[in-house]
Amino acid sequence: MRVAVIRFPGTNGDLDVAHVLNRVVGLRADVVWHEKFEGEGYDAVVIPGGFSYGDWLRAGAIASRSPALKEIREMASDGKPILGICNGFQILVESGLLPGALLPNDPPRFMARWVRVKVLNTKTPFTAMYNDGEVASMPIAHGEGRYYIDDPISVNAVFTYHGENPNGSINSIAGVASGDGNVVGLMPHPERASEDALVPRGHGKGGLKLWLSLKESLSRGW
Amino acid sequence: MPMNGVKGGRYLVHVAITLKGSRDPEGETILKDVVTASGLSGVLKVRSGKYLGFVISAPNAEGAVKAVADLCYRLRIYNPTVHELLMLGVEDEGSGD
Repeated sequence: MRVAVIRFPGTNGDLDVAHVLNRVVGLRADVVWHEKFEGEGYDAVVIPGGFSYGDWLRAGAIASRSPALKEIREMASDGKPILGICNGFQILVESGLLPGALLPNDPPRFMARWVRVKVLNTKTPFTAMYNDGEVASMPIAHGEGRYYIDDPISVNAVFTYHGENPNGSINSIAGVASGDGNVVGLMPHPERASEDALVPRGHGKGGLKLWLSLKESLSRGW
Repeated sequence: MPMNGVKGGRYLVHVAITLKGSRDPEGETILKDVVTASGLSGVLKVRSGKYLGFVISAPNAEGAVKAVADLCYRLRIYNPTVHELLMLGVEDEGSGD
């Protein structure tokens, strides 16, 4: 099972994601430069966080036009698991693979702190091992994470902020999935919440089950 | 798209992208913490946005504005779900030769 972790100019979460996949959960992950990415040979893709192209135009807008997204679009339509974290979520939204938009935070500042999210949908390859309604801790670190969609009822919300809504997202939505569930994006960083050493007091490693879910889903032939 | 080879002129088209409908926290903060905090009254709203200028060759100013509006929509320079594209104006920059 091979997972591609895509790197754009300005991506900074790539090595953390690859570390967790390779060393913590035991999947094989390669960090791939976006211009070199070919979907063939990969069973899943993670678009990590960062500031691709310096957030120019809008966060994720320029990376979403990369040829890599054509490959990812094909993989998505084949049903393969695709995950976007933070800037990766912004890229998936900008590319149209996920619905809605991510706007500057309300209140208008960069937020970097641990939050709790509730898992609403466990029928995705990234949430299969969570319990319905489970609350998981993960950190957020973003300036443009206010999820917006005209019709929030229509969206397949996977994660909502539990307790405080840190960025003004509509219906407290922190992460969404495509209709089929194989494409998932979220603003919090599960890769920074998968090892005890990184977790502050009062929180748990709420991101670990996301990666274990991917491993389990791939081994079952998702 | 710039209409290369078209006989005409060179135009600078000014556009701005602003939020529509949803909250505009940057504009609200500028209003509250800068304008109103300074003691000025009478300013009712501040809208934030992003400015872009396109230099384009086109047969005439009207054609330049239309071409820029089209490309902004088609290439998703703004997201029509959440943004409004304001056509701010056009300047004749001469033949461009």
